[in-house]
Amino acid sequence: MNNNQTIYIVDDDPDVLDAMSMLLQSTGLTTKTHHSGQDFLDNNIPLLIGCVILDVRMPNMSGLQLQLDIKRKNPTLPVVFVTGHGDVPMAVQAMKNGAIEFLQKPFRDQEFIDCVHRALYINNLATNEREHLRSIQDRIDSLTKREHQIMRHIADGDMTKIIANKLNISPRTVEIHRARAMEKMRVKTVAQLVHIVMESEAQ
Amino acid sequence: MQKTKDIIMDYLELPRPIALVLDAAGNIEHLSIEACQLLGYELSEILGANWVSMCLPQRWQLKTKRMYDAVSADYNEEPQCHTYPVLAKNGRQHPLAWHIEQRHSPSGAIVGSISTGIKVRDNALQEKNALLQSAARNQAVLDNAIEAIISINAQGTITHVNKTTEKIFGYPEEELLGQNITFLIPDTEKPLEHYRATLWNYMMPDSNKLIGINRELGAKHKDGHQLPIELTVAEISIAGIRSFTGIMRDISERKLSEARLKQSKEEVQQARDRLAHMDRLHIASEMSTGIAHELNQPLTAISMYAQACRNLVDNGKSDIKSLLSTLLRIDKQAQRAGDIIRNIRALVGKQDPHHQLTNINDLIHSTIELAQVDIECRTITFKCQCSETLPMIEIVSGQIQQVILNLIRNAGDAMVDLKPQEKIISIISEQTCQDFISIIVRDTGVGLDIDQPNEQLFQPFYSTKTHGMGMGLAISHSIVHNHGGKLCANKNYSDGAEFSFTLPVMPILGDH
Repeated sequence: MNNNQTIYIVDDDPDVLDAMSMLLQSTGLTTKTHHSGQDFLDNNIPLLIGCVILDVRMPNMSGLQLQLDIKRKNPTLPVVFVTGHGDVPMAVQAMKNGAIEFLQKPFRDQEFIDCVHRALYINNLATNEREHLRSIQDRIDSLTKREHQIMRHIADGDMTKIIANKLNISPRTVEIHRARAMEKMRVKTVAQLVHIVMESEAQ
Repeated sequence: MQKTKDIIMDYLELPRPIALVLDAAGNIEHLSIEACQLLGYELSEILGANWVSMCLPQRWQLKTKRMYDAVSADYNEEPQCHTYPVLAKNGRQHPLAWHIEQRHSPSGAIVGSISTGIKVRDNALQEKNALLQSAARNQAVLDNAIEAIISINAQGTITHVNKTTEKIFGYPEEELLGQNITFLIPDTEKPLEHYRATLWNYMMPDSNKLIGINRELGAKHKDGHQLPIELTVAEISIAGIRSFTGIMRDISERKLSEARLKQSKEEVQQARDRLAHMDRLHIASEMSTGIAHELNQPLTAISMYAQACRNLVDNGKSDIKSLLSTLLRIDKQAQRAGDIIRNIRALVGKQDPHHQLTNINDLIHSTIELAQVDIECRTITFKCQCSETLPMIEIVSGQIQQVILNLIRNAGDAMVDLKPQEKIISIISEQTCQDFISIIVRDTGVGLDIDQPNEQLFQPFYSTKTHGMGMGLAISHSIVHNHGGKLCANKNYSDGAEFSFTLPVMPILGDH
């Protein structure tokens, strides 16, 4: 687990809030409690790492509403729902919106903890993925215009001679740019280069 | 024959007064014509004769002579009234009522007497007849009365009974006469001696106030069955001898219909209670999701606290202090769960139908708490304006709680489409007048239809909601009515709906 991860718990019932927090803390996790959706939204949502535990039914702002808001601001932040009386349509909606789990109270503590761990794992993956993509983007951003141009052609499957022809430069020049782009992109083979370009363009 | 004719003649003859003037010695000085005719003498024949010895029957002579002597001798003698018979020439006697006065000379000396007499026919006989007739009439009245009429003497011995007594109690008259009254009215509840004392109380002259008052007692029929009677006692005192007449009415029929009425009233009450209970169950079922949620909260918390403790112990990170504080929190949650269950049981359980002294403000607050079990209710702001000077009142608190809960839930339903901050329920308790407390529940919802007649609101099965039985207001209305109060909707309130009900400060027990 990532040590920077925090579990944000949002529940209008102070006792349940406290108990959830204490349980998670007892397993070594970091928690932060919020008694309302609005209170939670005071955080800088896009920067949060970890997961959110939401009560579906809260006065003023429902859990489902808050889930959409979080998804918009920070799609990598997983949401786990806990509820005392979730009905099926509500659960379906929550899952469609990407909830990790929809737990009915009273749940088994281990189930709850496992669920939180899964959420944190997913967040971890997502965070790593985001970091990875960001680093790729950083590398792409460090390319010169010509290097980027030649890398695009390589990714399209063009041979060196064809690229030289298309750009009206010598094959040798193409090879120099290619070598420099591969170095900047930190790849060893052309195949790796193609993969990383496709990965970045998939986003 | 002749005698009969004479009697008839006697009756037909108009009584005419006769006059008699005597001298001081009692000799006849003058006699009126009527007197001569009655006696059968010529006036000349009789003038100067001694009145008493000539014209009175032997056995009246001495007594009457003394009377006349006294009249003639005493200056102060007042006019006197006497009745004595006269003896006619033919030997017949005629009873006459006499008015006798002294006769004075111009100098004032007593010179004799003037007597006027009028024939009294067989007046004594007539009186006796009349008495007999009236007695017979009375007896007929007594015998045909629907009440048993029993006369007893001061010792309680039965001296007279009417025919109805025989009918009601099943004993013939001769079996009753001479018996003590306790023979007919044994008191099954109390020992005999005590009953006698009670009877005596009735009969003591200084307990007059009891006499004449209707009392219900248990009597006994000859066949042994209990006979509820209503007894009225009248005291009669004749020549200083006190006797009592008890008038007893058989009230079995009345008792029976009273019992039937009581039973049907009880049945109505039971039906009403069942209906109220059904309504509570209905509310509870509507609230069940809320209740489940509410109960799950502390259970979840308890379970998580316990697991946290285990984790702390397992990890070896535990210190007694933090464990203890967690245990305290577990305890608090367990109590919270208990409170919820108590509330729900109060709602759905059969209720104690008895009046209890209740603080109405406490009841309002606990009802709001109960209503808030439902999550929809928790977004509503409650504003209470409770008068602090209200007296405690005797109510069936569970039922009144049901009324308040119904009004709160209706108010909540009326505001369902509003934003949370606009949902406000105001509850006001106040003493409107000396005899009544009033509780008002207002909301900021859609309000009541002004064209809707008020009565319809309180009709069973009338509802404007998509869910609900339409029983809430009807049952609330009947509960309040049964407490002696009134539930009504105030159409003049325009910011939403306003319902108010009153409760009497002094309970009106029983049925209405």
